[in-house]
Amino acid sequence: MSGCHRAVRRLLIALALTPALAQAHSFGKTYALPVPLWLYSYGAAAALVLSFMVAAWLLRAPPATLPVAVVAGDEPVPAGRGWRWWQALSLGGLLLALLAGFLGTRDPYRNFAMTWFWVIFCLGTTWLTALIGGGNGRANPWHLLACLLARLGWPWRDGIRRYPAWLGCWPALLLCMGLIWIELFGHVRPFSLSVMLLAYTLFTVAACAVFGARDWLRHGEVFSVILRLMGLMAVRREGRWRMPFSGLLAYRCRDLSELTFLLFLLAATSFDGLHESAPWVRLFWADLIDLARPWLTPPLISHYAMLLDAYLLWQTFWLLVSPFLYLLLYLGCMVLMKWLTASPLGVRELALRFAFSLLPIVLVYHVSHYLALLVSQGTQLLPLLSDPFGRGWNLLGTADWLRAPLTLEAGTIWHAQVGLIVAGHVVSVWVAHVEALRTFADTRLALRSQWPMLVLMVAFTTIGLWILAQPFSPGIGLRLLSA
Amino acid sequence: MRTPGSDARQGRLRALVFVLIAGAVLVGLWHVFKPAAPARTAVAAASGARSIDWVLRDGQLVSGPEIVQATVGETLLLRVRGNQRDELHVHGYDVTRDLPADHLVALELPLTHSGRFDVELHHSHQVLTVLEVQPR
Repeated sequence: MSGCHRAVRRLLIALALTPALAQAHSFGKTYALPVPLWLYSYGAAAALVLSFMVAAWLLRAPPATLPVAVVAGDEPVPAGRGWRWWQALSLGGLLLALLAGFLGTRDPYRNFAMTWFWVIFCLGTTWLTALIGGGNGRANPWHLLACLLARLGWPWRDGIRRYPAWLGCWPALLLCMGLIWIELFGHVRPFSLSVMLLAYTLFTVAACAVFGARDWLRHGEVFSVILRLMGLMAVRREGRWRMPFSGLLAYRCRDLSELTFLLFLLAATSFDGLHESAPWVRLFWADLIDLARPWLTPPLISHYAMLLDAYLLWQTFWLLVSPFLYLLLYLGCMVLMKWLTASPLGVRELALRFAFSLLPIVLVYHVSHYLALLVSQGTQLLPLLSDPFGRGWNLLGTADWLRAPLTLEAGTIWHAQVGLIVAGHVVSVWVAHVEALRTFADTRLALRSQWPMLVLMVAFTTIGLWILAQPFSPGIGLRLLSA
Repeated sequence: MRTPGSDARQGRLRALVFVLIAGAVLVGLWHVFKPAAPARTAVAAASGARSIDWVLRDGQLVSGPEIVQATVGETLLLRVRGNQRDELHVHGYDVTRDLPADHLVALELPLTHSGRFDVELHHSHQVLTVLEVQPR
């Protein structure tokens, strides 16, 4: 047995020293520490207690009668000086990122492209959109480009073929899976990032030509779909101020593909957190390898390359399957809801009605996982703007700013993470309850319908907190294993 | 008699009561869960720098911990010796040190902020170790 352990140990040392693994997150390293256990327990307990308080509050509420639009409206690209500034910034950012990736330094931290795309666009734009809305018309360069092309007329306005209805948002889901896979496993460097951004731009232009800009932006352009969903929570919609999160009750999820897309946003964030944690690494590199030992001729180190490939396949499998697991959980919860309320509505109809109530949980998951990254790397935009190519320029005089990156204290991050997750959970529970009051005419029936939903949401929240509380695996969790 | 005005007043009162109860519950839970005293203060109080050693051969780690647990306020002495030239970089603190071949390089690092920081070898593109600095 000790011989086996030594072999595993040697293998793990080799793995820990493999640049490919050690640098799994070569860019976008956060300095956050795992949330301490007591704070995790506090968050979970607070979420549970507050859920029941929301239910108790609505016990005496009358059935809700809010108007609902089934399809989230298309966002026309707004004109006007303020908007043009945003749009110029967005398209200019993409252009500068492309140039920086092709012509600039290979160091990801000193190249504008990496920070602009992964941090400013993927994180900053998404959260800003959840706050003030209009993300596509404001800051999505691909959306803006497609709308500009549509103005040119044929073929971009209406496309060559009709978009097949059965395709739904599945193309966007597929692209989103690709994006997350590249983020987690792609070892992206500035040059390869620019190649991908250029390829994606050309692909979007071509897809708009085939299906028409309107349909492609609705179903296929992944960032348009993300920002449209996020914008539903914003305080500004269609040029008017609203209650935050009220858009979740004003619109309804369109079909299963959009629901699965939404669940993937949740699953992908969880997966990103989970796949860096010690229990996840141990599952494959200790437990599964132990199971497979009869088929692996010693020494284990000789199977190292094969095991690395197997690990990548294993992780890819779980990433791709994750939204469907969440979908099964969610649909199971809807079957229970139908059974508890004896509702004449079908399971699919119920699933679509309650889908958007999960969006606050999606948002707070995302923010709490990447908050530290936005603070430490997002602020590096200031020096990068003076030296986008990493050539030692100082165009705006900001090149020397923030030499040591801005880092938040671990305690600040922990409290922000747990506070956000609990707050998002309460909003989700609230939205689902109001939807229930609208769907089921009777208040008691509405409350009963929410039992399974409550269990599901508490489960999602607890999983989110649990992942934040897991110890990180240093490359491969050698220290944990040898213990 | 119930009037719309009294209904609205009652609604506001009910909302206030609920918010107060929720706040009280959150504060109460906080007291239940928060540990009485941080367990790590004893370590931080120890005076002098704690020294930790790594040995590298041909760019490969021979000995040394791959994770270092510490607390804000401590001072670490990171001692690295390798047979190849390299450059040591502590992320987050953004400290860089040249590592000449076959020399023991000692880097004194007072831990001023908490977080999880990679210590990287620039030339061989490796993470030498990870500093987990807990807040006090």
